[in-house]
Amino acid sequence: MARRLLQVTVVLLASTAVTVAAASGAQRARKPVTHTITITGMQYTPATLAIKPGDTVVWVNKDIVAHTATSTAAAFNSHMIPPEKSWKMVFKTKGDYPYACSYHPTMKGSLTVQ
Amino acid sequence: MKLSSVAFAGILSLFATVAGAQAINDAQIASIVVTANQVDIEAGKLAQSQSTNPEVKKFAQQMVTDHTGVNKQAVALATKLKVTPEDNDTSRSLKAGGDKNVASLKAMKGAAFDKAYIDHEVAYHQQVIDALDKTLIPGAQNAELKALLVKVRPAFVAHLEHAQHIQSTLK
Repeated sequence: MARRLLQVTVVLLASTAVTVAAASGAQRARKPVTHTITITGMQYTPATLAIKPGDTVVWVNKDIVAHTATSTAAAFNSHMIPPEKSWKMVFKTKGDYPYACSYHPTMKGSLTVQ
Repeated sequence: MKLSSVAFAGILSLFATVAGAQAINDAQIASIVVTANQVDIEAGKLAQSQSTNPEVKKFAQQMVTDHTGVNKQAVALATKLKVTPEDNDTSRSLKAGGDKNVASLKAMKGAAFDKAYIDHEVAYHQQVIDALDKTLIPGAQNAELKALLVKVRPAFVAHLEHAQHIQSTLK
């Protein structure tokens, strides 16, 4: 009887260890995240955003006029995003990506992939 | 120089008319919004064809695009709310002021044209923002119309800043 109990305990402990190992493995291979930047009132919100390589950024235009999200270093260009439309991109390379609206020079944003 | 100050005085007086009016209804506000956009579209179209300055041309193109977009939404909302834009003293003087501005601009070219156009754009956007704050937004009865006016305001502010930036580069 005592021997049987010990066996069950060992099995349980072993399976727990497997679960823990699997969980930490999943943490290392981090799942990519999708971030949303909302355009309203002639502004990007949030105006600055830090993301990880592999993450997706979606620019959603909730403003009354069309806008763009255009990298000032020519790394990306949404071209025209009409009102109620969006544009997205996956960022793989680390770095700083300042961007602006090519129609409205007062609109500026900044993205950091770190 | 003289022409643009005349145009500026014209804008001031027409919005003074709005401010002086006791009550303004949503149909009149709709007409003022549509006319205000239309006037700037007309000036923008002229500047697109008549200016030789790339910055001014680009700005003019943006005015045509943005104000056309705003008008589309204003008309869509008026249709949805079954509001027929109602002509009034303000919309009529806006139209008259716009026609006068375009007529005087047509007689100019080169740097003089650019300066007169941009000076007028600065004054026009400043006055529209003022009218939005003092008369149109507080006066709007329908919540959706009020929300649209609030949503439009930042575009006028960005246009004003853009025009002021160009103004500072023109001699």
